[in-house]
Amino acid sequence: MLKVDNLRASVEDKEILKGINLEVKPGEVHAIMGPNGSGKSTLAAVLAGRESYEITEGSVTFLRKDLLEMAPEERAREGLFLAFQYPVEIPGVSSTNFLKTAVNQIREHRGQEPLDAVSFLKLIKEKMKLVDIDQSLLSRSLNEGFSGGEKKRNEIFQMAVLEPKLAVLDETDSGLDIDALKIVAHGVNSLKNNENAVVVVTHYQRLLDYIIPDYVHVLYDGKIVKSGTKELALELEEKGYDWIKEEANITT
Amino acid sequence: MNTEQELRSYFQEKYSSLTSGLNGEQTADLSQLRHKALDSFNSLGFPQNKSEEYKYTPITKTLLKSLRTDDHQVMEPQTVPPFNEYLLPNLKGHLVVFWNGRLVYCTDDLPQGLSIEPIDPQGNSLAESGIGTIANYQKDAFTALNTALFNHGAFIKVAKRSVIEEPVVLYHLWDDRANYMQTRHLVTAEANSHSQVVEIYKCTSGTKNTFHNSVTEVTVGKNAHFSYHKVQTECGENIHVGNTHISQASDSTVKCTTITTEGRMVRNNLNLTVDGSNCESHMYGLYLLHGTNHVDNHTRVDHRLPHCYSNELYKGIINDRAAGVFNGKIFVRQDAQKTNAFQSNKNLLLSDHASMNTKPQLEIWADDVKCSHGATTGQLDEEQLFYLRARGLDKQQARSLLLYAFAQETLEQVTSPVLKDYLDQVIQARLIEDHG
Ligand SMILES: Nc1ncnc2c1ncn2[C@@H]1O[C@H](COP(=O)(O)OP(=O)(O)OP(=O)(O)O)[C@@H](O)[C@H]1O
Ligand SMILES: [Mg+2]
Repeated sequence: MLKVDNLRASVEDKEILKGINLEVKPGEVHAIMGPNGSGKSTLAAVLAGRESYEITEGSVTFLRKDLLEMAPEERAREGLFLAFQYPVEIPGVSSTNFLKTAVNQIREHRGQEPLDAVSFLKLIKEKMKLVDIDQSLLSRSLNEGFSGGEKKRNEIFQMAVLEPKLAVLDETDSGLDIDALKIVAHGVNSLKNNENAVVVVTHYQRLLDYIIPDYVHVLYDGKIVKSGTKELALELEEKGYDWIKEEANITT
Repeated sequence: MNTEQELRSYFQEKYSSLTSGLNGEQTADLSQLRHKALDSFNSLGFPQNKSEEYKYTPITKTLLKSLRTDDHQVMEPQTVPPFNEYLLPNLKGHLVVFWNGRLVYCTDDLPQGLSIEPIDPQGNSLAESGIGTIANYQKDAFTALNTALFNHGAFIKVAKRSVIEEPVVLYHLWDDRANYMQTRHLVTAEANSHSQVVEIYKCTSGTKNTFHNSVTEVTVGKNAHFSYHKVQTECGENIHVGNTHISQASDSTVKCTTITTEGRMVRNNLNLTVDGSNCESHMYGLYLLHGTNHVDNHTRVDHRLPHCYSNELYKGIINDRAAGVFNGKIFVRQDAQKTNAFQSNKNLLLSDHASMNTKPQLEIWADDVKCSHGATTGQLDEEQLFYLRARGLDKQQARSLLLYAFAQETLEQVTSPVLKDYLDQVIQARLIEDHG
């Protein structure tokens, strides 16, 4: 589904991603962990098409298409979804209006009829239940004045509505209390099937008790320096990153 | 015309022909007032290059270049043009319609407590109006020119304790035959009344330069609520100088919105004199400019007495080679303790050639006050654009959604739902035209 091959990216001549290799197949769950500043959000942003990063080398194919050639909106329409680490507040833009536009753009791309007001409302009611999000939140401006937890939940809610093929969740668990975490995990799990895939970026093994990964990768200094199964996450939780850093520094 | 002197002489001649045309039929008071105003105009002259007040708006130069002197007789009675098709459908209100500066319709179906009298060049209806007391013709050349030369207008009076549900709507319509227009309105909103006035400016056809110099004087009585909307959405190549002078008595509330989306060169002066305590004053503005539009909003709030609140928010979206100017003066006099005065001007520049000059000016003599001001000029937020695009909206949709949201903060201050819908449509259409 997604194949990242020797991806290098920099910002203002500073190299941040230094040769990433990653393959995600349908039905899989991947976790990406790593110390602060290692490049996790940069990888997520580059996949979603943020223009401020310069791709200097490598390739990314998504569903057999060249992802790097596409505009951010084309990627979204093809089925890529990024849940932002820090969702931006957009005063004056109504959450529901925005989401309706987004849904219908994606539907149009898939050759489906646009949803009318009634079917759209039905859809969001159903998805609201899934992530236990309150109606009053959606009648407000997009993310404006939302608490950290509300913003994260809103990201998962949007994901549920847009039904992407590949979701990249950038620290969606950070700052959530255990109840909210369970809700988010439940949302992700109930959308999961054999056709789609999830990449979760996280600092905490805790999330991985609820969203069970098939693979765990450690990103350090712009490279994936170690990959393993869910046991790797437990090991990281216990031992921290120092041993990984040492190993990585020896090999380079 | 090449010089300010010639331009001034042109209008002096207009004054002579106006007075001789009136054949002594105008009231003695008015003829005196006009005469004094002409003297003021002569000594003030049109703003020169160095004029601080017109630093970024070269109005004199523009008039010299574009004022048409081919003679269209604004004063001559003409057949009444079919103005109905130019009115906003569904906008209910008490209508007064001007065409090329001449009154062509004035409703006589009035609710109790509201009177609207046409103002004519003879000044017959002006005896009790107090014309010229609020709009100071000694300081501003355009107010002076208007006072000397106005021909038609409306004198609106809202009686004590009257609540007038629907707005008084003044339509200013024109076509290519007009070279200049000078309208003059007076509003007296007496104590405890509620009322609103909407002024709509609209070019009906044509591409020629026209000049409109308008003055509106408003007296708001004690504990009265008054709102004022100025709408300049379809103004073509119009050069507009508009002075709205409002004086507020104690416990009154005034709300003004000024919305401009078109015009060759527009200068709106909004002057509020807060001459009572416990007053509330709100001023909102939105200018959405493209092409070579030039729009200048000068506002002035003069707090003279204590315990008043004023709040001002002007927002601009400026595209292409258009230019915006904002100057907001707040005076808080020594006696005006406990004044709360806030001002904010926010702008988005959408092209490298668009420009904005903004200047807040606070002068505070009282010591126990809360005042703040802020001005920002920037571009659309890249983070916000990316967020929307990452959800599947294309660049244009994302841009127009954000621009619309930006405008919304001032648009939602328009109280009439019909007018708000109309403005919504104009703005959406513009955003699609420019960004879609
Ligand atoms: N736009 C930018 N300009 C300059 N430096 C940047 C920019 N974006 C990222 N960086 C730098 O790139 C590095 C990687 O940042 P990134 O946000 O990808 O890390 P992260 O792994 O997501 O960290 P965290 O766990 O704290 O979220 C950091 O050193 C960061 O300061
Ligand atoms: Mg990060």
